[in-house]
Amino acid sequence: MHTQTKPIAIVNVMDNRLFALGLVVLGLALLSVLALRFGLRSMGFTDIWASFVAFDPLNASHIVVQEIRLPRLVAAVLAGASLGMAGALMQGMTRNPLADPGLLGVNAGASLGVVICIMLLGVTNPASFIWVALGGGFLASLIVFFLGGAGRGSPARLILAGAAVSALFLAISRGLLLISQQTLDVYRFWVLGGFDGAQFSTIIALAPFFGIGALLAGLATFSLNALILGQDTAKGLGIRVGLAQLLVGLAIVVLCAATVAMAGPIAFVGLIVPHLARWIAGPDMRWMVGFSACLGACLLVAADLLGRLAIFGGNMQAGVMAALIGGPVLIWLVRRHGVHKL
Amino acid sequence: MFRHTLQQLAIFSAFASGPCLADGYPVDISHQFGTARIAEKPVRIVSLSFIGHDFLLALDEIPVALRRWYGTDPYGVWPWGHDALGDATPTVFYGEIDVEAVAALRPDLIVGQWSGMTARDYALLSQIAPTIAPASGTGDYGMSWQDMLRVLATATDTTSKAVEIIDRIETRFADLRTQNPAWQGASAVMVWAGQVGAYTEHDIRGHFLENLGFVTPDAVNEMGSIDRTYVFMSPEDLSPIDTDVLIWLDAGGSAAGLNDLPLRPLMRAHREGREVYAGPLLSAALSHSSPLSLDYALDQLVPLIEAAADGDPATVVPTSDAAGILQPDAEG
Repeated sequence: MHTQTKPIAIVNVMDNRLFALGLVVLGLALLSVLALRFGLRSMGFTDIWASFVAFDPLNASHIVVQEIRLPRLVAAVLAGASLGMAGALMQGMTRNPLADPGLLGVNAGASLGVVICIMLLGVTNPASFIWVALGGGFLASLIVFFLGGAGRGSPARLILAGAAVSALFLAISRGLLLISQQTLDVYRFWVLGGFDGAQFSTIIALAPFFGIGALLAGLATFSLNALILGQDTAKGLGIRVGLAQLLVGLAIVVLCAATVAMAGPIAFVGLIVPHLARWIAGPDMRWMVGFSACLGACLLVAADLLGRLAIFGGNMQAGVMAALIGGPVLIWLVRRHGVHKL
Repeated sequence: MFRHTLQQLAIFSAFASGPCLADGYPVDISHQFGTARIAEKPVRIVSLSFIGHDFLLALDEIPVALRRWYGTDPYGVWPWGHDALGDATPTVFYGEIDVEAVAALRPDLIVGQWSGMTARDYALLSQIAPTIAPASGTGDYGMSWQDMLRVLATATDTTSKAVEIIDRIETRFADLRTQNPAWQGASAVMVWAGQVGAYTEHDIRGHFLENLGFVTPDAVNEMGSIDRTYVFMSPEDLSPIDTDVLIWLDAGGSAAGLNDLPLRPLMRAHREGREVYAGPLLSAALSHSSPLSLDYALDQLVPLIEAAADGDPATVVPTSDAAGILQPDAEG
């Protein structure tokens, strides 16, 4: 904390963070180019460039880039960024480094909502999943919130409540899927699909939710910086704790529900990315959330790219791949630097 | 011929004097996991094949239990099997093979030629009753409908009926081959809409096309194996299924997804109106390819293939038009 006493050092830290953020964004750009370049249909960079500047609707390579790989890339970026931000907010709010959207019931709630939607309404289009995913996510998070002591309990109680509600909702989902084969078929395609079926129509339909979620997340970071010092301290700093928590909660639910509606429940990204982000950005939640968004996008784009390569059978789920890449990184991080107390 | 008469004699003598040594039993049926010895005519048959009940029903053998595959029928029997099933109420299995439930039914024959049963399943099932697995070298889902019917007929002493059915349907296929010389050697493939996947020549649906004279493209066959007769297509390359006749199968609701396949408009099959959309009932009839469903499948499919195989988008394939998957200028 010596940096706070030396203004020059703060400038240095800012510079370093900006530099690091620049590097991460550059990495994301590089990964994006690779994601457009590699896949089952081989093509060169000239094809990719031409597909942007001189799109030919009769050229198979142009179509593959513009209508298959590009929406897939955008979907991976949106999902990764959302899960990264949601994870960072979740860990900040609960002050628990183990929290992630999967652990607090939001993903399970959103998934259950989608399962019920497929089963009762016969809906198969991901863009229509958003409202039920939102509803399920909200319901689950409300249950967790009240079981967890309605904001007055300890973060540990909140986590336990989340684990219980997650398990319950997942069990109900699985039970329903066992009963209905038709639902299972749609659900499996949706869950396993990852970014396989990504389309711009779905992305555009969900874009407002990603936008609102990101905006809420940005607003929430300011009060989270105070909340992270403990609720009493936060109150002392003039933060309305209940309102701040509501804001954070809303941001998490919207981000997660939009992601679940688009690509199914993706675990682990929300857990690991904030740790990486904290390692680079330090404890300031504003930076943390920004880095989490960029790193989350990098992780899922890389995972989706690797999952498509032939050595992994050509169709490994991005979520599984993200855990395969992220797991060792997290282990290295924890062994090398320890877990930051929140 | 001699055996045929013997069997009729056996039936006669069975009626005349009850169980005796003169009937065709015991019969031995060899298959990929060994040999099933059937001591006398089975009366409690458990069918574990997803489509096997159709075959048994065609032979007038009503199983005590069958395996529901998909669809809404409570017994898993599709419309073409309703008459043969009559008022019978067999036990219905759904999902994985449940050995305990099979044992509880005290079967005297277990059949699973299209069941995906594993060696481990077989080891357990064959202790309960003689169990018929797929024939050697055909893969889990590749035994031809004729062979499946013949084996079941041998097991249930109904060979004459099976011969009659096979003759009739094979003649129908042969007539269609003669009437459609243009189909002979042309390429065709059946592909599920939804998550796009094609059937290879080793699959029951590949056999169906072969029976009409069509050839499954090598590009599809090479992606599979004897035990993997269903291969996924990457939306980045649909060329393996760009055939002279392309049949889209659908269990319901996947037709709209076809219009979301970005490369489909570039396919010759699409541009030349060579696509046939098979609705849920026709898709199921093709996927059963059973003595009961084949007639329905041919009734429905042959006129559609005729409209598609000419390669002229002006001769519209009615089901494809109704499903809304034709190219915009051909639909008007």
